[in-house]
Amino acid sequence: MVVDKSRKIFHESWYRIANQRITLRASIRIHRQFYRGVKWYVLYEPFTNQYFRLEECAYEFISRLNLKKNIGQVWQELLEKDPDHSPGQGEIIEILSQLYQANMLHYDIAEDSFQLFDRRSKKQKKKIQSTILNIFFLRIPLFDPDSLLKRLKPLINIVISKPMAFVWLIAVAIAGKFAFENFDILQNQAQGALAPSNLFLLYVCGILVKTVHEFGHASVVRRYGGEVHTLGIMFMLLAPLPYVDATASWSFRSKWQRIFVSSAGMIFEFFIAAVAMIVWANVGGGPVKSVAYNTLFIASVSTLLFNINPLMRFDGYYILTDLLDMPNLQQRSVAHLKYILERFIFLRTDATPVATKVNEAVIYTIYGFASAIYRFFLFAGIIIAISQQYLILAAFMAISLAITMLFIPCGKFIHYIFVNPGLARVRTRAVLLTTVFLGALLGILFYVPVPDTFTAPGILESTHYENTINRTRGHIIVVKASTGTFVNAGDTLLILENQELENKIQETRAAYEESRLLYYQALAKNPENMYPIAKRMQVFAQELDQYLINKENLVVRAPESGIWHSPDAANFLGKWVSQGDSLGQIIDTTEFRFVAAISQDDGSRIFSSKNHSFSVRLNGDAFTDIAIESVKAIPTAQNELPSEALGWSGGGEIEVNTAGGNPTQTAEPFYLVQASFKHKDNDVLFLQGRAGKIRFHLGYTSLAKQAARKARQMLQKYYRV
Amino acid sequence: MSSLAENYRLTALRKAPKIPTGIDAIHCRALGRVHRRKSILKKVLREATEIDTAGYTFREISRTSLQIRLAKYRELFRSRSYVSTQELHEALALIQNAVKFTLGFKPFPVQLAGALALYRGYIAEMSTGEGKTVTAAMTAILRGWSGRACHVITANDYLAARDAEIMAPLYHFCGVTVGSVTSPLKPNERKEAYEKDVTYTTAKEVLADFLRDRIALGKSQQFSQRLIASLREDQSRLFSQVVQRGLHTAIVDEADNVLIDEAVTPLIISREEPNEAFTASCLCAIGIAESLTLDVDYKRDEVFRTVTFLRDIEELIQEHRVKHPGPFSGVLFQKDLVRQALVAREFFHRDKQYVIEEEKIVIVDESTGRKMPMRSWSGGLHQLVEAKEGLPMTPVKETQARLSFQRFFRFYPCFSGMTGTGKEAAGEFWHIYGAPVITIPNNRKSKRKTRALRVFPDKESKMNAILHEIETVHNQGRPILIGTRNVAMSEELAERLHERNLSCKVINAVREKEEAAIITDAGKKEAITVATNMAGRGTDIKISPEVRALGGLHVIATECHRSSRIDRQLFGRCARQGDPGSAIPFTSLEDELLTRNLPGPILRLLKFLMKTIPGSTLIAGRGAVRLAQYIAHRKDFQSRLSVQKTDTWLDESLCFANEDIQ
Repeated sequence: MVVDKSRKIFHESWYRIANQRITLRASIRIHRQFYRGVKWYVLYEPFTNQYFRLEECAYEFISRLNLKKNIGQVWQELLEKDPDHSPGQGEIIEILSQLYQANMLHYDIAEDSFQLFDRRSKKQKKKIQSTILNIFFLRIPLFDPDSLLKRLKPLINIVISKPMAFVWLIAVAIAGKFAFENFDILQNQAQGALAPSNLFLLYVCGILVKTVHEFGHASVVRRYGGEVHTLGIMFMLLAPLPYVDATASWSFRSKWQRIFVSSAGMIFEFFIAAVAMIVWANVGGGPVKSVAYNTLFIASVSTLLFNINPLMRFDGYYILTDLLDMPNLQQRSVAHLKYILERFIFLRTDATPVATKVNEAVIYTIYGFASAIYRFFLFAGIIIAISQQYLILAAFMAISLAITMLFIPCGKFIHYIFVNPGLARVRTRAVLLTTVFLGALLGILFYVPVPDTFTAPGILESTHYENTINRTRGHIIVVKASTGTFVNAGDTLLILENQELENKIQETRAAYEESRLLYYQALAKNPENMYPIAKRMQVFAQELDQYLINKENLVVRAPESGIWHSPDAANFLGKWVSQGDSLGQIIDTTEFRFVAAISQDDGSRIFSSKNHSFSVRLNGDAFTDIAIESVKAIPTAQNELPSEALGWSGGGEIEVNTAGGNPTQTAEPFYLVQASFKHKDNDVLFLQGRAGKIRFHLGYTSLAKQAARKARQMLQKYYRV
Repeated sequence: MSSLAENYRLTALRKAPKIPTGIDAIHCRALGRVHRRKSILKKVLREATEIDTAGYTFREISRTSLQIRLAKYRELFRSRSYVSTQELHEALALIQNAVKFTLGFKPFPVQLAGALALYRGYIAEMSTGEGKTVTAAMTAILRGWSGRACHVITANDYLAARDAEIMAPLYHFCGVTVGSVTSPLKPNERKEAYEKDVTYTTAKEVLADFLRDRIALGKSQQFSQRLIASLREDQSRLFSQVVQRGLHTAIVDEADNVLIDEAVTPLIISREEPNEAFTASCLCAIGIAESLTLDVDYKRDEVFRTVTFLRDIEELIQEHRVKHPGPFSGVLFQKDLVRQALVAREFFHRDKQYVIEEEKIVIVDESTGRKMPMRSWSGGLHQLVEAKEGLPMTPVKETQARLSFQRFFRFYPCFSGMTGTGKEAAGEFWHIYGAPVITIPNNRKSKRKTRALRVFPDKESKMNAILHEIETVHNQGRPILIGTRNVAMSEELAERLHERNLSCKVINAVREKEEAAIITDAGKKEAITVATNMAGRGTDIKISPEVRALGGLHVIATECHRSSRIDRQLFGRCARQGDPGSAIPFTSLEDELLTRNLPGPILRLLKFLMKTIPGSTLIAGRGAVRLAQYIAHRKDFQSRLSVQKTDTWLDESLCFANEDIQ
């Protein structure tokens, strides 16, 4: 309840209009509309295609105006009749001046022609200004499609009819079925849709779809008797697309008709999309399929991102305003947020509320915030997306957006805080609060040190492991210990078989036996031969010994206790292994270290700064910090990742060079960092190769500095500046 | 109306450029600084010295031959719209000698410099007592020669009549006719005065006549309309009702008062229309207001002089209005009237905001302390104040025409002004009127000693200190002038002085009639004069040689004003034309300037500090006063700008109703 609402009777400038004879122009059409149960009157001037909405009490006054009586007399009459609902002099001046600006008044005296020209040039100036400010949604009217639409009337009557609605439903249902079945394929192809080679086709399809969309709006307006007088080109984010001016629907009395006009574009677009879907699903390939896909893509993406989204001022917005019965939702939401600011933060008791009911207030608040946030992220997203391809265009967009969405609103806000007469009573508080708030914000950003941290991916690695090298070649015939199990020193791991070795042993043994017999023969017959034969015997004995040791080695035993880890264990059985081949490792589980790959940007900070602390968190144990004893950074850039798991192909976050086919070859050089743990933590399972992240705490720096550094790095990275 | 040219000039106004805003305003301010640069003053002073030297050559010239030469220049100025610098210099040199012949003294080079600056459209800052009257007259002669209307705007009727009378011999000598328009004059007398080459008048009169002329002209506002109408009918009757000849030159004395302080107060021409229904609604509102109590039903807003309702009074209105039905009994209308009634009760006090004379409310201007008999409050407030005082309610005044001084003076094609204190407002003079301020140095160095501001925590301690100061100075035999801000304060001070057996004379809105006599005596030995701001303007307090020997007039300012300009004007009453004199300002933290412009907590803190550690917070106190003055200045400027903006908005949006001006 607003206690303080009152109405001033007199206005000091009343004398200027009291004796004038003014009336509404004869051409103006008046429509009565209800919004949330409140009666409004919409004045529509078809010559200029302008609308003006009046409250009932203002309309009561305006409707009484005629050239036989002057304004003063009309006001007196109204006062006599209904003093409770008569506007005050000031309100009348306000309404009349607005109607005058909208060219809706008729008066019998010649007006100042200088003023008229002045007004015209001012309007033009404003138009140019708003064009520049809305450069991303620039509209250029081309021609009046009214006569065309009249000629198309039979077609429109066919299109907007009950049978067609039935056809529409069937088409959409069939398309829905196909879409459901092929959903994953559709999704996969979406990435290719924005590829540069496809852009032209995409755009051509876009024009096609949007033309149908706009025809949808226009035909429904026509269907309900409205007139469409403007068709033109809108440069949406610099891409020219058609548009029509369907504002004639504003004068439709039924809100459902208005909603139908607003949604007609999407309904038509949906039909096209449904047809495209059916074609796409039933065509094997070739350009037809491609066109169908692009059509589908445009229809769905633009609908989701722009048309149906009520947070931008497209179809969805108008549908929402009509559904809620809250015209000018956007402006009123902004006004409502301003009211909240004035009333509850600046404590301005006489602030005029926008919403009359609680639920309105809630809607305004939600909508105001949501649309502001959505716009911000939409534009930021668009700029970032474009910036990766076209730097100069993005810079141009960013600058103009910064002007329209940051500088102008900020300037307006400052002006509002310092100059707005409405704030006069609470100016000190308003200025103080704003200054304190901004000061605190800047202070936090620039002076409050926050932990400056960054993380790098890495893996656990045992500090100590024994490589098990095969000593005797052979086929693996028995796998005693499976990989990953704990083995004690001397436990058999594998048993190999080497027939050749067996043969050799036999052969050597036979040769030795032969030599021994020869030795004895020589002893008896010719002792001078004894010595060489003994030598030969010795050689064979040695050889045999060797072979026997080798044979012994065919049983591979664990050199020490630990986890037996062999990467190739699955293929062991029957595999031929040569001497010197690595069979696997026995990993010492008593001590681990963490090996991390850090990017070049972060690397320089590690090398330059001294006082930092670290901690490691392993994947799956995200809330357990593992303390680190010391960190050793290897000051040489590397290209080979310590584990495949860190690279893209292994599910990691480091970009690897996919072209080379080597999953550990990184696209950019990096630095390796080895961290040794303080003590083995029993809570966390230490496993060789377990991935995690190391977190570096490089002391405390303000957010602004950190952000500036990030931005610099981004620029450097993306634009090679 | 004899000639077409005169007919045309009647309504030919300068189309004033728009007041720049935003970035344009910044550019404009920078440009203003260029136009106020030092070298311009040097150039003007050099020219003045040249004129003075040239003046010597006419030293021996006879009266008649001087008059012949002057007549020659008169013809020159009348026939040409542009005169060369050479001719201008020579004309001024002749006028300088004419002054000597007629008034008995020779204008100093600085006065010549002032006249030059005025001729060129500057706002000349000249200290009080430096002979502004004669400076203005010299320029008025140059302008008067052209035969186009030249208005010299003075601070009040008395000065208009006096200056015209004193300067009459000079004008006559130079072949210029002169007249003065003051409020008691009848329309035909006014017409006669305006027909003169040079007309002395006040801003109020000239604007009122302008508006009345506009009303009289009715549908014939434009030259073309009059031309067409003249084919149809004889217009001499129409012209006989018009008193002015059009606007051409304005030389505004005390320019800062007229063009800055008073600038946005619109002058309203109205007629009274009995409106019984409205009276009934006012009575109803008063009835409701009487049943409301402060801080229960409504609260006061000191700074903005308004009240806010704390509870919904609509039901109360529904009950009451049954007794007073009528067109204005709408709930929302009635509520506004109740609010006005409460405002009248809470913020409008007898002898402060108004006085009662002959059963009528007479508004007292709070900044000057002068009565404004023709003014009334709008929106029903006047009637509600009358009802509060139990006076019969006057009918509602229906506005017929209104215009602010600011807009009016922008219509003059040739516009210049003089002031004692213009530096502070130099930015605004340029911004609004496009007139640069030039500071003309004093002929003789001022011997005024201005003591530092003394700040007190409350009104009582300030009053005691003032009384002490008065006694001390009075015992030396020096005359004292005490400036107060409102009538009540001056009366209180007089009473307190009487308690101490000190006799004093009071000039304020209530005792206006004896003013001239009191001023004459104010410079005598041991005189004590208490004045409500009014003595700050145009009036000369002469001191005798005896007083001069004692140290001259002593001025005490009991409160600081919204603008330090007004403080300086008060100090300007003493130490005129090389006399000795001294001034001392007082202020307390309870003064209106501070309470209305500084946040309450800061004031309370200062007050607490001052009471606990006396003397230590003097600097802080002075800073607070400066800050309050700065804030007040900004507020005033903004409100002046916003008035201009509203006017422009109205012009643009009510284009069909713009027949009153242009």
